Amino acid sequence: MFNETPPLQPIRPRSQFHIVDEEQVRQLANGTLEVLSDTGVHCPSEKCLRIYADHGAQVDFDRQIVRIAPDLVSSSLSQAPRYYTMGARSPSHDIALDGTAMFCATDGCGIETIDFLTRERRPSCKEDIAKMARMADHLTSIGFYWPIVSAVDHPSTSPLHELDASFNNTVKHVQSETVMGEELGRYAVEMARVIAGDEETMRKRPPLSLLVCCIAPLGQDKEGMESALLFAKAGLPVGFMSMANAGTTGPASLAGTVVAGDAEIVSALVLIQMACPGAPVFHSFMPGIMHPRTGGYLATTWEGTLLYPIGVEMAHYWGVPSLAGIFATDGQVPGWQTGGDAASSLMLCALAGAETGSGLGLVESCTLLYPEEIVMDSDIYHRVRLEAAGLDTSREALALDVIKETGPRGMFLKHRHTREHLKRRQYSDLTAQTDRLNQLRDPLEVAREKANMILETHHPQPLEAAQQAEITRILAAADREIGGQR
Amino acid sequence: MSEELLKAMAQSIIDGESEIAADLARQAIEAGLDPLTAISKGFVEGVNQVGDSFACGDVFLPELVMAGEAMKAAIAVLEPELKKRGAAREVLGKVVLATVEGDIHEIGKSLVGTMLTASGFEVFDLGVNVPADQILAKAEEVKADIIGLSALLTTTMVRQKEIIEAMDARGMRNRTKVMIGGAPVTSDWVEKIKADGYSEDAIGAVNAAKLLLDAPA
Repeated sequence: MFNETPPLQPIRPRSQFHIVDEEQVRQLANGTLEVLSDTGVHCPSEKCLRIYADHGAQVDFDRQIVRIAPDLVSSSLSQAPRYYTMGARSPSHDIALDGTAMFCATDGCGIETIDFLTRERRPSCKEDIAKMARMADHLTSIGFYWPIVSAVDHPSTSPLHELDASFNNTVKHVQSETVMGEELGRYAVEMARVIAGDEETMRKRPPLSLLVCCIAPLGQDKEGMESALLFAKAGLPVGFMSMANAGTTGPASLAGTVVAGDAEIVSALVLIQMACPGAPVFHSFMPGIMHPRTGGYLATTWEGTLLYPIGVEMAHYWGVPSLAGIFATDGQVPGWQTGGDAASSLMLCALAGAETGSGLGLVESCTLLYPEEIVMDSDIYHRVRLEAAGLDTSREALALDVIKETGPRGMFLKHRHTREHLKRRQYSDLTAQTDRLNQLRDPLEVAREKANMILETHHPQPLEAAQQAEITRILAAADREIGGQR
Repeated sequence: MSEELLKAMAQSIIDGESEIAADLARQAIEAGLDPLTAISKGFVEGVNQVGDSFACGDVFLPELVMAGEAMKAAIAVLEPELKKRGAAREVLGKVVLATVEGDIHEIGKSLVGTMLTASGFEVFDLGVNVPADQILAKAEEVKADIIGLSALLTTTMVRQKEIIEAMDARGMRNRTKVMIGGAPVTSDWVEKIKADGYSEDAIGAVNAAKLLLDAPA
C-alpha cells in the first residue's frame, strides 16, 4: 500500500515587482560584462578551457583564466531557454518553469540531524534523506527535493546514495548539489535515465537536475564544471550558484558582491551554452555578508535578504530561470529567527518572479536538520503563497448584498455567505490549532506532531521493481568502482 | 408522513435553513403532530448531528450558529402551540443573559445565547448595556437557574463583581448560579469575584452551563 502524493501548490504571484529598476539592472550587468572581459574567471578544468577557447573566449591556459567578451556572453546566453520543464517521477508533479509560478525545494547538504526519535544531535545519514524525502513528498509546499543532508554513512559515493534515497522516497523532481566530477556524474545520469524510462523522456521531462557551486571570488570548480557538462549533454538542467560573502570573497559593498557573484555564475552559464547550445540552465545567487569579527558567512543579516531577489532580477536579465535564495538562516533552533528569515526572503523572491527556490528544513546556516523545521517552513511558505496571490475582488467576494443585509451592528456569523466563504479561508494547521479547552497550542509542539504523523503515515508510490533493481545495480557498481579507489 | 417530516426537520437544522425549519414547524402543527415530538424527534436530532460534526471538526462556527438560528425559528413557531395545549418543552435550565452596564459588545453574548438555546436551555437575552437591577429582577421573575454576564472591557468587567455582590446581598446565590464571559475574563478573575463558572467561548459555555446544573453533557 502506498499514499497518493498531494498536488503541488506553487506560489503564483498576482503581480511582480522590481527591487532594482531597469537602469540599475543594466549597471549591474554591465559590471558583470566588464569583469568577465577585463579580469576573467579562474577555470581549473582543461576540458572547459578548451571549450571556451574553441568558442572565441580569451584563454590563458597557464593561469587557467578565461576572459569573455560581452558579445560572446550575449550570443552564448541567447541560446539558453528562458522556459522549460523539470520532470518528476509522476507527470502530475512536473515543474513548469514558465514564469508564472515559483516552486520550492528543501534545503540540502546538511551535515547533522536532530534524531527523529532520541532528539539527540548526531551526524546525518542516508536514512535521514529517505525519511525527509517522504516528508517532502507529502508537503504541498515542496515542489522538488534536494537531498536534505549528506549521506555521511556512505562517504565515498554519498552523492549517489543521496539520489538513491531520494528517488526511492519521493515522486517529485530531485535536484542534487553534490554530484561533482565526471565519474559520479556518469552514474547519476544513468540513474536519471532509469527513472525517466528512456532517453527522450529524460530530455523532455528530466527527473534530475544539478546545482554547482562556484568558488568565490571569480572561480569555477573543476569537478563541478565537468559534472555540469555531463548533465547538460544528457539534457538534465544545470545551475550555478554563487555564495560570495560580502567582505571576504566579495566586495563589502552589496552592489559589488552582486557583480562579482553574477560574473561567476554567468561565466559558467556561457560555458554550458557553448558546449550544449539550448541546454536548460538556471542562475542562483545566494550570497552572505561577512561577520565583522569572525569573517564567517552570515545568512541572517538586515541587508542580505535584499540580495536574493536581485539575484532573481539578474537571472531574468540574462534570460534564464532562477533558483532563489530563500529560507537560509543562521538561527540555531526553529523559532523567531528562522521564521523571520524565511518570510522576508521568500516573499521578496516570489514577488520578484523567482521560478524556483530552495532552503526549507535546515537551521544553523543550512547545516542542521530539525525534522519539524520543514513543517514550520512550509507554514510560512503557504502564508506567502496566499499573500502573493493577492485579493479576490469579484462581486461575490465584495459581499455588498451581505453587508447591506446584515447592517450596522449585525452579525455575519449567521449568514449563508459566511458559511460558504469561511470554508474557502485557509488556516495554518500550526498556529490555529486549539487544545481541548480551545486554547491555542504551541506551534512548535504541533509541528513536531505533524512531522511524526507524516513519517508514520506517508509512503509514496515506490519505484517499479525493475527500476529499483536497476538503481541498486548502478549504486553497487559505483560503490565497487569508486568506493574502492577513495 | 410524520417520519419524513421529522427527517426534514432535522435536515433543516443541519442545513441552517431558518425559513424551512419554521415552515416545517407550521406543517407539523397543521398535520396535528405533537409539538414536543417535533422538537425532540425532529429538530433536536439535527442540533445533535451538527454538534457532533462540530466536535469532530467537520463543520465550523457558522454552521453551528445557523443551526442554532434555525432551531430558534422552529421553536418560535412551536412554543405558542405548546402553550395552547398546556404543555411545555423540557428545558435544561433557564438562563438570563446580558452584557453588563457600560458595555455594548454583543456578538459573544448573543452567540452564547444561540448555543444555549440550541442545546435545550431557555434563554432570556436582555441585550447589552443592561443595569444590574434589571438583570436581577428578570432572574427573580423567571426563576433563573443561571445568570450569564458578559463584559468585553477591563473597565466594565468590574460590573460582574458588583452584580455577584448584589446577588449575595439579595440571597440569590443558592437558587441561581453565575457564569461570566468576555475577552478579559480569566479563571483568576472567576475565582476572585466568586463566580460559579466561565468559558472562553460559546461552545464551552454550553458545557459549563450543563455542569453547573448537573445536566448530561
